[in-house]
Amino acid sequence: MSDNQDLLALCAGDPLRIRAIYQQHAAPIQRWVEANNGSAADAQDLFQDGLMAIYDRYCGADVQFNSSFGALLFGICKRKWFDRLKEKNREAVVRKVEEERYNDEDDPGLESEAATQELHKQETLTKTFALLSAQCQELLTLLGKGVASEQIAEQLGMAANAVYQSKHRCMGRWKELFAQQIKS
Amino acid sequence: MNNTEKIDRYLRGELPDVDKNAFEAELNQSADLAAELALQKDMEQFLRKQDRRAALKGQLENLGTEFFQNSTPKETGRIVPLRRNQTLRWVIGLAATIALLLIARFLLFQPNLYEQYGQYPPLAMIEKSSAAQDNLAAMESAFNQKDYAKALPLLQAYVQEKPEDLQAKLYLGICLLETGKYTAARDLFTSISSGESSFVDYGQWYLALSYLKEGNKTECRKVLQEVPAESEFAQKAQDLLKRL
Repeated sequence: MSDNQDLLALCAGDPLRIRAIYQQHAAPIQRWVEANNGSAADAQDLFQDGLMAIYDRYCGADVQFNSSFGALLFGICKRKWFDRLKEKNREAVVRKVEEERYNDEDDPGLESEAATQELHKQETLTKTFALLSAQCQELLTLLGKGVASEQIAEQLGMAANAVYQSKHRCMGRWKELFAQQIKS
Repeated sequence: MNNTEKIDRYLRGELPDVDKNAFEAELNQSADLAAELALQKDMEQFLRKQDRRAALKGQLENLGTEFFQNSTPKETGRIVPLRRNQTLRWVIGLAATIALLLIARFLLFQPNLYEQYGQYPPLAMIEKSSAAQDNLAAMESAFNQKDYAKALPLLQAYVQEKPEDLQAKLYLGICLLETGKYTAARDLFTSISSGESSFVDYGQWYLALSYLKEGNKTECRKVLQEVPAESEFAQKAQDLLKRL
């Protein structure tokens, strides 16, 4: 019950309940990260990534939320930390935590992986969207807000029938950028 | 028509039946096309959500620095010798005058309590349903722009359709409150606060606010005194009680 409340709060941006999530979970996660060669600043990054991953995966999507909020958050933080350690190539540590990954019963395995992937996707969309031309960004943002195409045409000084043509061109370019980014 | 355009028109329901059927047949054949469709759906969703996502991220950044701050070493204090000179005296005198003026202003014009306490988290309905997106978007943006008169009929229609959605009911109550329909607002808040949902605390808090807004301190106090210690709003309720 309260897990579901945490999720609703996150989706709605409810400041009080989100603060309560930090109060409850920040300290244990910081302790874990510090016990695994990380700093408080690392823990801060991971924690934020964890919440954003949950937001990206569950808010506004038709995905059932069956996990314990805390366990899922912890699971994502651990997973991201393992990945980061791997990048840094600290093999000995990685081997140890890798073992833990599969022995940890609290880690809601697949869910934390799916949420981490969703976060990666959203971050990549954000990054590549920022590479589009200013006009593309503006046009797509207005369309996303549900502004009528006639109004957009007026605002951007284009013909009404050019709005969707431009949209297709911008989306096409965005897809290319996204594909390049994902590959690299 | 290239793929991007075809997919876009398909998603907007603009393909004529013949083309639509052909497109769906093609989808079954080609995993690449299906992946493109999925990506374009993600992009559309990204565009709808990007403002809120960025806002949330900013919110989390602030909380993060607050809760994870002990990593940054504290700067040690330095002792600066105080030199007595004319300029300094003058500055101190000026600062004292400003401080007095500020205190006087605060005492004379104590800001409206309701304005201070009556702050609502943004309404986020779009994420809860994919049906009737347009109406939900209009409702959400009206509410978040504090255009309660405009949001009111939209929320009323929504709640009629989905009476089980307590969050929507809560926001409907807020619209009623903001447009001065106190009795109707209170009926809603009372029903929410006497239930067993996760919105009980909210119902009770807004019930108190409704009396505050109307200037009925006695009733407001009564409701606030009933706010249990484990309520989300316990602290705020105590603060407000002291100031009433």
